Amino acid sequence: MALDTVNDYVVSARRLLLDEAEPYRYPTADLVDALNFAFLEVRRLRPDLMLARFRSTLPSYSTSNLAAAVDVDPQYRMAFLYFMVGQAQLRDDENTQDARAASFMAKFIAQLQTVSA
Amino acid sequence: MANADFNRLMDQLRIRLPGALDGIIQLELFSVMNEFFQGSNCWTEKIPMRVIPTRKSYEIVSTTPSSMNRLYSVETSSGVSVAATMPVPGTIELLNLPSQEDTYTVTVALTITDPVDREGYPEFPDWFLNKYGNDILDGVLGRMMSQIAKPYSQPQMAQYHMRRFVQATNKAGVEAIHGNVYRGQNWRFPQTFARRKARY
Repeated sequence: MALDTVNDYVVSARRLLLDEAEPYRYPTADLVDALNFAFLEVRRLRPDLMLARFRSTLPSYSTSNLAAAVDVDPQYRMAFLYFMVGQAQLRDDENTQDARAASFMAKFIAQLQTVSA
Repeated sequence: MANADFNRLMDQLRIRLPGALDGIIQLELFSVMNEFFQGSNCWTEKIPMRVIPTRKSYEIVSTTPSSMNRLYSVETSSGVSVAATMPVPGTIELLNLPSQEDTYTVTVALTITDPVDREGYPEFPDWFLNKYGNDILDGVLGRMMSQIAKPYSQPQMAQYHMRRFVQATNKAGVEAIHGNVYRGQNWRFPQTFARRKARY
């Protein structure tokens, strides 16, 4: 299935960021951090997606194990990916990138809360 | 393991609730079924209870994985009604000491309880979903659609489905009182008053 592991997310994020050639503009560690931040946001916006983790901590991934499985329902994997891309692009200070980052962040929220996004 | 009725119900819910997770549907399903059973008393069980003249309080245990909700009736072996209460589910308190050793029949209304099965579904009688599946569907849809900030949030539809669910619960309660007899009644006079045996 698509977007199963941390590496799947990182590779897909790089594709959307147009950052597939080394040396990378966005370090892998930053992208993995963005994935971890997505869980924090999802816990706030859609607590039901974290039902299995109400009595434990939220998952936290690192670059040392990129093959780790990411436990996200298939319906919402794209939302996590959009958050990663938006989060990565937030650090850019060019106006065009700001708009793109905002667009990905808005898509992330819309995918979590609406049907049509 | 989930039966065909349960699979059909879950498929209907998945289709009508885009973006909903199975775990959340099951969570609401438990609440809806609990509310339905508590509101309708449609799931009953007759439990034999051995009584002795020196005790008023007795513990009874259901044979199914369920929780006792209400005490329906207590009858002696000859069918005479006995005054009793159930202050705590599973504890029967007789108003008066029994006059002799006997085996009373206690009828209690049941509702679902943990543990649920391996797939996360509560256990209940097989006939239930076949008879009330659409009503449970309404209840789950109502509760799911009343959640805020979800792809399936629909406050107006939630009201519609909850209204249908409440009506269905009341109707099931009436059917239970009538013993599912069409235009009939479930009660009868204590048989000690009968001058001759009824023929069916």
